[in-house]
Amino acid sequence: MSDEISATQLYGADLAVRPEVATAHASLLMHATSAGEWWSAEERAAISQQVRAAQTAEPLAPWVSPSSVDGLIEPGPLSVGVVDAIWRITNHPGTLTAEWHAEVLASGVEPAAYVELAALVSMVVSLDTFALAVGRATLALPTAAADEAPAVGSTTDAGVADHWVPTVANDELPNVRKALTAVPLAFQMQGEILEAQYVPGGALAVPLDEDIWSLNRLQVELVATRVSNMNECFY
Amino acid sequence: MTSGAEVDLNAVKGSEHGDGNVASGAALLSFTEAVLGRDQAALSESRAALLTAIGAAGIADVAGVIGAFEMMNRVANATGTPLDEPLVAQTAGVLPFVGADDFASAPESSDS
Repeated sequence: MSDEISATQLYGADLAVRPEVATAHASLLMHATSAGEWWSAEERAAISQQVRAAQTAEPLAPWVSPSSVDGLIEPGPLSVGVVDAIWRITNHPGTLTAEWHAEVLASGVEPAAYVELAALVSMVVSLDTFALAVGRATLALPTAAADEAPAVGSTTDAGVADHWVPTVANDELPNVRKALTAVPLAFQMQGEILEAQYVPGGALAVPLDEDIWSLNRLQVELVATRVSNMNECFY
Repeated sequence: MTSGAEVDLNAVKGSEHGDGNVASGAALLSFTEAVLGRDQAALSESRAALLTAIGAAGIADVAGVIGAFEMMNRVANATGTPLDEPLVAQTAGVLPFVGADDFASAPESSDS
């Protein structure tokens, strides 16, 4: 499906969206509502919808769980703890701590399932932020197949090392890419987005004095660093 | 780009701190802040200014960079990703300067 969708189909003819970006976004739409390795297609669609609910809701303080607000969360296939985690990662990424992560796991989420959850939330935020930036409505999510179950546990050689979450040892990868290695589908989708929207081949693949797409490298890094600063993130 | 000038890291702290000595830096920062602030009025205004500065292709590419880092920041903060060893040394003097020592993720990102 993704190969058949053009930038014009996704965002209209008047925007100069590159084909590789459109391809990545079409892939991400399918990724968001297809079965993963720990979550079913229906659950992943519900996760994606909760991200959108969190983004458009009246702001809550980081310490206020959406599940504690009467009428804010409608019953669905996700547990209360998972919904609260989705909203926290979506709206308050600068407040996440090791203690908070431990509480999410204590609510019954498997460590690798949490990786898949965090990855999907992050990617849907990314997709919707792009649409906001170019002045378009968020892209409609495909309908999830209700009976599409997850393919559990495809990666068994992941363990907790330097991150809070389990990762697969790989000295070739930067830590932020290694973060998703316990869930290959998420790792692959992350790479596709980065190749299309950041520096092809990785941050060190292009010298600082070379252009990237229509921008020069300093412009790219200025924007990236400002985003990280606003999100209170070291990267 | 301002020929021969060094990048001014103050700009990372916000558009009120200048353009960073980067070409169209002020317009890029104002647009980035409007997107993350989800301020529709500021977004329309800053998008128009950025369109004049870098064109339609530039807008789409900046939107891509913003989107990519919205993803990467959440992945990093949600997984307790530590800074890579080479970056620890390279950014040692920079992180306190831009206020990063006060981030909630500071201990996790520097203790690896």
